[in-house]
Amino acid sequence: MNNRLKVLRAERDWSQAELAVRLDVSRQAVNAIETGKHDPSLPLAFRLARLFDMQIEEIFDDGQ
Amino acid sequence: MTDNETQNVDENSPLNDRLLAILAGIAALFIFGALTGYTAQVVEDGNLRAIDGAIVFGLIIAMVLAGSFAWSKWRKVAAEPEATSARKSRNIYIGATILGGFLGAFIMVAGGPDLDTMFSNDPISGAVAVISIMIWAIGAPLITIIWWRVTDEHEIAAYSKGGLLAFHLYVFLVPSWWMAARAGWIPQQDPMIIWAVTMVLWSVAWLYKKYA
Repeated sequence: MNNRLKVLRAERDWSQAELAVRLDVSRQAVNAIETGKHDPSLPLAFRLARLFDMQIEEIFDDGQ
Repeated sequence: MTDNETQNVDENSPLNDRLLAILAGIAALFIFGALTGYTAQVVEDGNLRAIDGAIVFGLIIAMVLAGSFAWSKWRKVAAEPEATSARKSRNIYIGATILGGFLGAFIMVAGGPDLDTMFSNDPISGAVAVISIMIWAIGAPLITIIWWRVTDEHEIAAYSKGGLLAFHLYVFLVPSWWMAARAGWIPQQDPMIIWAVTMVLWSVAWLYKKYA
């Protein structure tokens, strides 16, 4: 699944490790989501959306 | 290339520092095991040749190099900010490794007259069996449950995918070996060899899915 996480993170000047701390996941988890290797669960997608103050659909794109 | 781009390239590197630290640490442990086994064999034979000394010296150098490399990489990743779940997960790994090391050392020391009793099917005393089974059948599952509850979903997914792959290896390997043994082509199955192969595949797949 495509996502804008890397761009959103860069806009805030956060490293992957800093975002990981804010989400309470490992840095590898953030990296895997950014590179599309791991699709986050709904609870984690909601945490991301709240953190960036956006809708889930504004962060993730299923290509449909 | 800007600083941000450089940082992103580093962060997305498939073979990152954390994985290198883990692999180098595992290599150092394996070399330590080989060194211990070889030294014990030389002492048992009572015949120290020049080639034995060279091999032991080489193993010590390799172990120190692997350990130093692991430590240097680990120090680098330790400087990163870390989520509470990741820290708890890592602490549980450390606890599990200590428990596993204790179990292995206990079986080697108390299991029988030979140090290789850990890797044999020779009989052991009831006391050693009871303590080992309590650690493995009660302690290890408890640790696994606690780890499962604190670990983030990405690692749980890596663990699950590795487990599924290992399960399929078991499903295909055991009946094939059984048939081949019945045909007289290969020796009878050794459950611990199958267990070890399954665990190795599980661990490699788990690490790969987590870090690559």
